[in-house]
Amino acid sequence: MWAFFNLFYKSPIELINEHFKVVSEVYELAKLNFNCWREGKEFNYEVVDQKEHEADIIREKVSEVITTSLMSSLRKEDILSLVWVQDEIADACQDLMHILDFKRVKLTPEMTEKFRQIFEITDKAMTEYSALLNNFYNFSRADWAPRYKRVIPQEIENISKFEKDIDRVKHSLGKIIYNSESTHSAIEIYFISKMTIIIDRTSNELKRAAERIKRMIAK
Amino acid sequence: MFLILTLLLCFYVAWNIGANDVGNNMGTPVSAGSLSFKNAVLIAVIFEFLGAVLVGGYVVKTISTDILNLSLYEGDPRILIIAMFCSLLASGFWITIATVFKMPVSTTHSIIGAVVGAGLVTVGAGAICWAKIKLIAISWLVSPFLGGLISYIIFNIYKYLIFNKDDPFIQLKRIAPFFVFIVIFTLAMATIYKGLKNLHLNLDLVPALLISVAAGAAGAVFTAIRMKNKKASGDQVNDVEDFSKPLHVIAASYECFAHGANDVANAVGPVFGIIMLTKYLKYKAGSDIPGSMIQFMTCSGGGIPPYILLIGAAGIVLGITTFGKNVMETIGKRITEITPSRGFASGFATATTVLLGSRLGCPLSSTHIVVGTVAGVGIGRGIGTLNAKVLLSIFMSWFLTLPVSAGLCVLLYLLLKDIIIRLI
Repeated sequence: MWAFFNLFYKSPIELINEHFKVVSEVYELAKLNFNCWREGKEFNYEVVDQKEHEADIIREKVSEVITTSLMSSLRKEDILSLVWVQDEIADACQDLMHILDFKRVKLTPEMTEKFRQIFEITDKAMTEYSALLNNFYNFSRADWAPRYKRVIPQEIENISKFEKDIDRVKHSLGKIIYNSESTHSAIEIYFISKMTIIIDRTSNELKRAAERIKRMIAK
Repeated sequence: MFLILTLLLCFYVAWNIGANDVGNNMGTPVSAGSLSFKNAVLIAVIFEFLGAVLVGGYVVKTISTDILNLSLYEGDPRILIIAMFCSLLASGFWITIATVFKMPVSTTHSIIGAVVGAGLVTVGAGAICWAKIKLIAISWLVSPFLGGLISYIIFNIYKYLIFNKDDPFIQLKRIAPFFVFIVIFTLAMATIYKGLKNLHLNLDLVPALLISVAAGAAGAVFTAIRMKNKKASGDQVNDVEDFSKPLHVIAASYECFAHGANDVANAVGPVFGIIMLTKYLKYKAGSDIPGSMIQFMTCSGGGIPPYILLIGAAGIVLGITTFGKNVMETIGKRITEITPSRGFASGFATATTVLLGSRLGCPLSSTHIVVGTVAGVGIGRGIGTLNAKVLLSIFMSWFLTLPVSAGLCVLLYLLLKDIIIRLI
């Protein structure tokens, strides 16, 4: 009898929601640790590793659900690609922590301000995506009744807008970094640039995930 | 002594049925959060017992007298007694093995397969009423689809009349009493219209209709009063699902009733056959028989002795309370995207299909019908993914049960016939 109910497992969207909650925690821990690193304080990248591992476990559960369930109203490929894209956010945070552990670099006030702006907009994007996932989940719980998807396109657009804003800030930060030969060595410039690219991955993956949801809804 | 052994075996098989199948009926309300484990077990116990005792007689006779060609056993009815005993034992063993290995098997397929095996090993292919087997097989194929169709219709009614509206909660308050009326009316009609022979109550259409309408109306009024002052909290989806929980519980109770009515026969059917044959042999020994064995079995046998149904019902109840809780706790977290609203659609469809089968004397598989009804809801939501591998494994386990239980019965007959014949 136990095996019979394997056929009809938990909602994959509920699991994707759970996965993103853990990914959000990974992001918050990474942000906290980044600030500690920037201020010259001690930080612990292993905490982020552990949380990222928790996210991996939920990601695997989603795979298991989809491959052992008899049926689902969403395509298997869409569900799996969404959870993998979300997982990329956790991976980006983990990569950031590892790279920060390699070296300490003092940031100029302009750089610090730009990083602060990037994180501020990323926070908004994360909150918006969390709301999007929640609405998507409600949409699914209401058996795809059209009235529940009204707010979703707006949320997707907002996330896209945040991603563009981050790109603008990243561009201006890039100019500052590559013109800081007077304060930083070549390796330090490369290091800060690498850090920026990794941080930027978060908003890029959020946008990709939002686009996945948009495609799923359209179908 | 042999009779006591038979009744104990009946209890063991009924226990297996209760343990194995309770997850079908109560798994969905437990996992959807409509019921706690404790209340689910309590409801399952009450309604399975009532279903078995009140309406369980129809399918019993099919299993005990309609599958095998009784005339071929006139020469030595003891062979038939041994065959029925071994079929019960084989069925019980197979269900126990399947439960241990966590295989989703049908208890109904198990007993039918075992009885067919018994016929094949005792007389041969001529012992089987293939026309009846064909009808039973057709009902097995049709019933999941019928259940799926009913659940699909109810699911879409729910979706279009409630979820799609601007104020789903207000809609639910308006429509829920009608749902309750339909459930109670269907349950009442299925039970009392020319039914309840075990209680010597054989109501015709008009009185049955009146009573069913009155019962349905009472339920609807009660629901309307209870929901009148309920207010929405703001989360429309949550509100609708919260207030669908009582509907889900009612449908699950109805499911348990139907299951008791249909599946008690899997334990009681062969036992009824054995008891009637034993009686026949006793009368024959005293030269006091009115007619042939077939006449005795089918006509002068009369109704099912209530104590047999009680033993079967008690076995199911014990199965639910011992093993069933563990099953529900294990599966409670594993169930699908079953919410109370979808659970109501699935539960009502399952119960209606199973009860219809019971009234027609068809031994249906509640396990397969539940798969059909939940799939019906899934189809209503749209199929993005259909896992062919999983589908194949379901069909394999369905088809495996018949030959395995038949084979097990053949083996047991060959091993035990000399022992059992001394006990008769």
